[in-house]
Amino acid sequence: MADEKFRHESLQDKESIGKYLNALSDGFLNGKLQFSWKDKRLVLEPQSLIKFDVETKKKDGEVKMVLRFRWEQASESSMFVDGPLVIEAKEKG
Amino acid sequence: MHAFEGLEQKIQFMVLEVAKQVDETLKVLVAPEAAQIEKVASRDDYIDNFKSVIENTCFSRLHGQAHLDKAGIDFVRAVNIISNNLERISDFSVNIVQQVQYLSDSRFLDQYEYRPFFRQILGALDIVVRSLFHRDLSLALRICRSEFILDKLYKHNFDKIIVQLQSGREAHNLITTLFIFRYLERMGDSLLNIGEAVIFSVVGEKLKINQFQALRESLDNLGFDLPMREVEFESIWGTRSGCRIGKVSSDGQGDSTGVIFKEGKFKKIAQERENIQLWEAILPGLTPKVFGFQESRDNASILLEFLTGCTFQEIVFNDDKETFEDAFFLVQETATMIWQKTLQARVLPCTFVEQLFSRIEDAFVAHPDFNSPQVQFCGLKVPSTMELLEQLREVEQEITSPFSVFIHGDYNSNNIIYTQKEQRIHYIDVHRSKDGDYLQDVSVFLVSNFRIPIFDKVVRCKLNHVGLHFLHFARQFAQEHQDATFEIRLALGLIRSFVSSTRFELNEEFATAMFIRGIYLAELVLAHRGQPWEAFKVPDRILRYRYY
Repeated sequence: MADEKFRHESLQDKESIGKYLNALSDGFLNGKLQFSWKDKRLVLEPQSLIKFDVETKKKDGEVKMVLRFRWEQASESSMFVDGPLVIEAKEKG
Repeated sequence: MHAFEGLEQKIQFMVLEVAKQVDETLKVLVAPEAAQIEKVASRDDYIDNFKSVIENTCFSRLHGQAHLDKAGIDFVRAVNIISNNLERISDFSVNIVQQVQYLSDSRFLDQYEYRPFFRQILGALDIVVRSLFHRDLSLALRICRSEFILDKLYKHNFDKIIVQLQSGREAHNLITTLFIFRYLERMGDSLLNIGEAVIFSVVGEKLKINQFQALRESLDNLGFDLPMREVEFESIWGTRSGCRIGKVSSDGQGDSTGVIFKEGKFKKIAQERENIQLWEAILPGLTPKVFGFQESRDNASILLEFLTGCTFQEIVFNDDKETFEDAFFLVQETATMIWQKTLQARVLPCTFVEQLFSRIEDAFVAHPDFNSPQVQFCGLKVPSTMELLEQLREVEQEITSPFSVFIHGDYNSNNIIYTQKEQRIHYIDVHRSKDGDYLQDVSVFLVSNFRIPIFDKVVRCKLNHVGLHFLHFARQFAQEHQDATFEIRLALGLIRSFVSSTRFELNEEFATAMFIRGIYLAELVLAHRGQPWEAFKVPDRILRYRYY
């Protein structure tokens, strides 16, 4: 779990990006963020408090906005490991 | 040749030694004696040594001391190839004298004509040094031709031996004899390599002998009364899509006799010639003149007029604003003229996604991550790349174009030449031209500008400008000609070009920028299903890369 990684890169516009943000929002509300691809599955269950920071940067006509969520999650062996989910909304413009 | 004195002497000695070796081999065949056989075997060590020394000299020349120009480097490379092949001839000599020991009757060979082989081989070896140092191409051709003659001699003796073998007698001696002839024939292969190396050192291009002959014959037919060594051959694009393309001009006479030489598969070259004739009828002078056409078996070569001027791509990079604007205006004006003149009302199927399917594997080889699997993102289903393209293929079947025009077929900004003096545009590389959808050309042109991996602000802004402006120009043509499915065909054409262009782009970030543009457009198209395609619109911003 500690080295499992999910990455998905795409181009969206201000309408279509909503689908992704809504899906994330629903996931938090339900207490389960599921990502699957091929035969792999990554399930994140944010139960504790969630540290949330927003970072934006403007450089040479490119805007970068990073939303970062961090929380602690009990692993099967009762160890706490970080399960960060990073969503980068990159907008050219 | 001063700088090569050492090398010149060494290769001269080596040729002499190998000629002696071949001569001694002949003596063994005439009168096999153990001492003679031994002499051949020991000379081979000496020749091997020569090869190593020459190789060392060549490499230290290339890496060490003074700067060598291209001609100097080509010469060193040629000498190295020649010495390698000389060494092989010496090896074959040893093979031959070893075979002689297996003959039960030393006079058995007398019934065969082996002397003509030796005359050819020794004759060719005799002119190696002269052809190389005097840069004499007719001598080089003579060396090459010896291989052809040796092949014929071999065939003659081979047939004779096969007939004799059928008698069932002397099988052992016959097979040994066949081996001997086979080694003599292989000496011919080495001589051909030597001849080609000399041609390379003079012409500066790795031309196979058949390509060289095609070039020579084409020039002869043109009435160019020039010895080949006075003809400069400059590779322009090297080997590209199976064609050898080069520029030929006569020494010191400027560009007046410049021609483009292309050699490749018959079908492609013949198609190019045919299309040039079609273009000539549409817009005289648009394509280069054909000066010569040669065919040989599956290959053909063509000599084309060398158009002085710059490609449109070069103009975007280099030229001042005024030249750029003139050229860009003419590009659009020429396209309009051609489209209007060749427009025929007829329903054409759309084939962009089909074209993409035939190239997608190459894109995946360069970028395995682009072949992304289906993803579930917090309940949101994101289809795999292939699923997306399959759905797009279904959409494409509903789409048609309302008319055809005569299209270039590979309308990228490298295939458009602007001549300032004449104030006109020329098209080159027209082997794919045909009646088709002008959006084929439009989308290729747009992405050919986008995909240029230059991120300098000035150039990038110009590229963005060219893209947007050309898009508006094409849109206007569509409106004037009631082309209601323009936008959806444009989207499919852009998807094809954005995605397939990634196979040439190894800069991962830039390749990804193109790939996700294709996927974004594909998602827009799929989201539009169920609504009339006439209402679809490609967002202009898709053609911008940085710097708004």
